[in-house]
Amino acid sequence: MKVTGQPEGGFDATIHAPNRLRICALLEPAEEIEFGTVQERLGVSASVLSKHVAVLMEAGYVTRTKGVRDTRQRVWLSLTGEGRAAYRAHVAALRAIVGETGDGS
Amino acid sequence: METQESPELPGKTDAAAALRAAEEARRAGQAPIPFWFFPALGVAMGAMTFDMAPRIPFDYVFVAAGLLVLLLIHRLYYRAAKRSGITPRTLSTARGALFAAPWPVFWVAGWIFGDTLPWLPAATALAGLVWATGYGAVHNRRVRQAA
Repeated sequence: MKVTGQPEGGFDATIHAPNRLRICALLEPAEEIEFGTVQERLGVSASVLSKHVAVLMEAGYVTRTKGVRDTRQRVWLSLTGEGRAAYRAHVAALRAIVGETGDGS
Repeated sequence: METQESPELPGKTDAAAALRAAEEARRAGQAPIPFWFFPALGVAMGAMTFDMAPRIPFDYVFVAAGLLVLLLIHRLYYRAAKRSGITPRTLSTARGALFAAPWPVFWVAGWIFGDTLPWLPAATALAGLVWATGYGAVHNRRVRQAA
């Protein structure tokens, strides 16, 4: 079965790329996470994270907001409603492939 | 960087590996609400409930002070969350409604029976504190179990 970058039957090739899947998974249970914390928890460089976040933002799955903490400007990332739904559908699709049942969260 | 397109659906092994990676990352994003948040809300709301006893003077001042304390608790909560780098997910509307549900009942009971049952405001204030603390404990236990 061929798939594109667009969601098809829950599977979403945009999310499926390993780092992007991990970014979505990390953001899913939180309201928002600071860019540096995402970087630290996933063990990726800032440039790699930025590139993947840009792809997810382009797809409308992630939003980025800026805020000041300890006099320094910080970037916060969060999943959009669309991104949360797409991530859950993607996980459900993966579970279906594996043969599990679950809610995808 | 991975390409945006994947030619085919992953096989069972790849899908299982992706699920494992996602679960691991998801666990890293779990953040319980600070332990003090719900009890602090319970104390503030309980104090305001206690004020429903009509014999206590300066009602409005007391309620206004309670609202200010609630605002302060929220501010401290967000400051703590920002410091940790992860803002926990806020309660859904249904869960928020469930959490807040007892207080209108307590308030109405306080207004109606406050004169005849002098111990009622103290009892409802205490019940509110216990409810808020218990709700927070259950909520955070669910978050930790999900992790």
